[in-house]
Amino acid sequence: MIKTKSLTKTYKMGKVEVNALCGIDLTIERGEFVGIMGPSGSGKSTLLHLLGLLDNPTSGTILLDNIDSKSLSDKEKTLFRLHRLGYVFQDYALVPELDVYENVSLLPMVRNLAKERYQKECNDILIKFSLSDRANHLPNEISGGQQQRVAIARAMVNRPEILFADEPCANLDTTNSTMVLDLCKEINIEMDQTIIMVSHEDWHLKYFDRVIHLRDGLIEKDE
Amino acid sequence: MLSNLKVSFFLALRSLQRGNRGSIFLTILIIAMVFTNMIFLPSIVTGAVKNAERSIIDYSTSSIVIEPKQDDEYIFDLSDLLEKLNKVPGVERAAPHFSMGSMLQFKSKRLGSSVTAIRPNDERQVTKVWTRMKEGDYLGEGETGQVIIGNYVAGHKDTSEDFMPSLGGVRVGDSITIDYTNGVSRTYRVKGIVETQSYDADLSVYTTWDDMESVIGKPIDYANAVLVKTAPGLKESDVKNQIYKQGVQEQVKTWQDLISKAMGKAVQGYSIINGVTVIVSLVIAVVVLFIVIMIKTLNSRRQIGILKAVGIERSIIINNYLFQVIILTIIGTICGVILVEALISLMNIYPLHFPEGDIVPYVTPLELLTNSLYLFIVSAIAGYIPAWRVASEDILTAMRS
Ligand SMILES: Nc1ncnc2c1ncn2[C@@H]1O[C@H](COP(=O)(O)OP(=O)(O)OP(=O)(O)O)[C@@H](O)[C@H]1O
Ligand SMILES: [Mg+2]
Repeated sequence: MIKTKSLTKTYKMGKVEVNALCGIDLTIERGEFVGIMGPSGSGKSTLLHLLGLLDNPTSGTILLDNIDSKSLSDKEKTLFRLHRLGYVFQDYALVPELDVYENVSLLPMVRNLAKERYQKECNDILIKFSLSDRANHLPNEISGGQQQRVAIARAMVNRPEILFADEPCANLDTTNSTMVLDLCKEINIEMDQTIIMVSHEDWHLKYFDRVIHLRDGLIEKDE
Repeated sequence: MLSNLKVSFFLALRSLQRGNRGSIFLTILIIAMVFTNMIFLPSIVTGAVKNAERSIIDYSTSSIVIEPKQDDEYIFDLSDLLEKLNKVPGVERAAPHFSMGSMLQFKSKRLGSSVTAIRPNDERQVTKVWTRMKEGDYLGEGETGQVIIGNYVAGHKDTSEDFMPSLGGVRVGDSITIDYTNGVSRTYRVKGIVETQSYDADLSVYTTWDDMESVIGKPIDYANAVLVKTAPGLKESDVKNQIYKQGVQEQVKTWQDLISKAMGKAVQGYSIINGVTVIVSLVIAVVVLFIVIMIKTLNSRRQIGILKAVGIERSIIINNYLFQVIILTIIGTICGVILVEALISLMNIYPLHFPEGDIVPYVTPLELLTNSLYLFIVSAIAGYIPAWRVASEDILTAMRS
C-alpha cells in the first residue's frame, strides 16, 4: 500500500538547513492502524505530510499502490488526494464558511457523485457520530471534539484508501479523545480502513496495530 | 468541468452568505456608483449633443436641405422641383426658403439682417419654429404686411441684456421698417416673436412668399434652399438617395452632412470626455475589486490551504472567487442601472436648464449593455489575479497561516 525508500526532507530557512527526515524506509500494508510517535521535532508531521502528498520530499521515493509520487503532476496529486486519501488534522481544518453538513458532503459533491446517495450517507454518518443535531451549525459554533468528529466524518464519507491523522486529539480532552480514537479503531476494524496517525500520548498506544517511533528524522523503533 | 463550476458556484454563494455583510454591501455600493459614474456624465454629454442636433433639425435644417447647384446662386424651376420632391417616397413635405438682404429699422435702431420668405403651410410641416412663438402668432398663408422675428432680433429695451445687436425691444404689434437691397422699403407689423433657443431661427426675420413676391414685383420660382422633412423612422441618407434617383440635379444634404463639419469636432471632443470617464470608472472598479478580493483571499489563506489539502483543484478555488466577483458585479450593476434610470427619469421631469435648451440625459440600452460588459470583463480580471496568487500558494504554508 505505502512504500518509502530513503525518504529525506530538508527545510531551508535562509542559510540554516533543518534535516527533518534523514532517510526513512518503511512499508505499510492495507488495513493497518499505524501510530507514528516520537518527541517534538522528530519529524512526525513532516513524514505524514510527505506520505499524504501534501508536500514533496527532498530526496527518496514514495510509492502509493506502486505509483511513484514523483510521476504525478500537481493536478494529479490533487485528484489522488481527493479520490484516495483522507485527512484529519490537529486543528480540525474544517472549511469555516461551510456548515457541518456541507463540510461532510463537500468531497462527494466535488467528486460529482449522485446527490441522493451521498446525502443519505452523510446523514447516516452524522447520526453515527452524534452530530445530526449540529448539521446546520458552522464550525465555530460547535466544540472542538465535535469539530474533530466532523473532520473524521468528512474524511470517512469519502471512503479513502488511507486515512492520515496528525495528532487528531491534541486539542481534545480525554473524553473527546477517547471518542475520536474509538471511532477510528471502529472503522479500522469494521471497514479494514488503513490509518496512519501521529500521536505523542502513550495511552494511545493500545489503539495501534503497529507503532513507528521517530527520533531526529530517523526510525528508532518499528513494532 | 460543469460539475467543477457547480462546486465553485456553491462555494461562492456560501462565502457571500456567510462572509462579512458590511463589506459585501460596500462593494456592491461601489460597483453601483462606478456604473452610475460610467453612464451618467456621458449620458448628459450625449444628451446635450442630441439636444443640439434636435434643435438644428427642428428649427434650422429639417431632415434634408436642397441647395443650389455648385455654381448657381439659386435653385431654379422651383415649382418643378417641389412637385418632384413631394412625390419622392419618404418625403413628407418640402418647403422653400428665399432670402434677401435688408436693413431693419425700429425707432432709431438699425440692424442688418436677411429676410426669409416662407410658405407658412409648407413650413409648418417641415420645421417646428411655429410651435415656439414667444409672443403673437405664426404667419398665415398668403398674408402680407406682417413679419415674425427671432427673439435675438427683437432684443430687449435694455440692450445690455442682449447677446448680440438687436432692434432694442420690439414687441408684437410694433411696426418695423425693412429696406431691401433691391431698393424697396416696406413697413411691417410684427405679428409674432419666436424663441427656439437655436441661433438660426432666433436671428431670423420671416415673411410670406406672397409678400416677398410683391417686394420683388414678380412671381418667385426660385429659392436659396428647400427644406425637406422625411417620414419618421427613415434614414435621411436613404431618402437623399431616393431624391437623387428622381433626377434632382441640385445639391442634396442631410442634416448629418450639414453638421458634420461644424459639430464633428465638438462631437469628437465629447467622445473623448466620455471615453475618459468610462476608463477612469473602470480603473476604479478594477482597483476596488482587486483590493476586495485580495483582502478576501488573504483572509482565507487557511481555508484555501484546507480545500487544496483535501483534494480540491486550484481552478475550482479560483473560479469560486471569480463567481463571487461576478455575483457582486451583477448585483452592483443592477443597482447601478436602477440608480441611473431613477436619475434619468428624475431629470426628465426636472431637466437641467442650459442657455442652449433643457438638457435631458440620453442613454441607449446598448450603452447600458456595453458598459455592463466592460465592467464584467474588468471585474473578472480584477478577481482572477489575487485569487490565482493565493490559490497558487504552497498547501502547508497556506494552512499554517
Ligand atoms: N515549514 C518548516 N520550515 C522549517 N522547518 C520546519 C518546517 N516544518 C518543520 N520544520 C522542522 O522540521 C523538524 C521536524 O518537524 P515536524 O513538524 O515534523 O516535527 P513533529 O515531530 O511533528 O513535532 P511536534 O510533535 O512538535 O508536532 C523540526 O525541527 C521543525 O522545526
Ligand atoms: Mg507535528
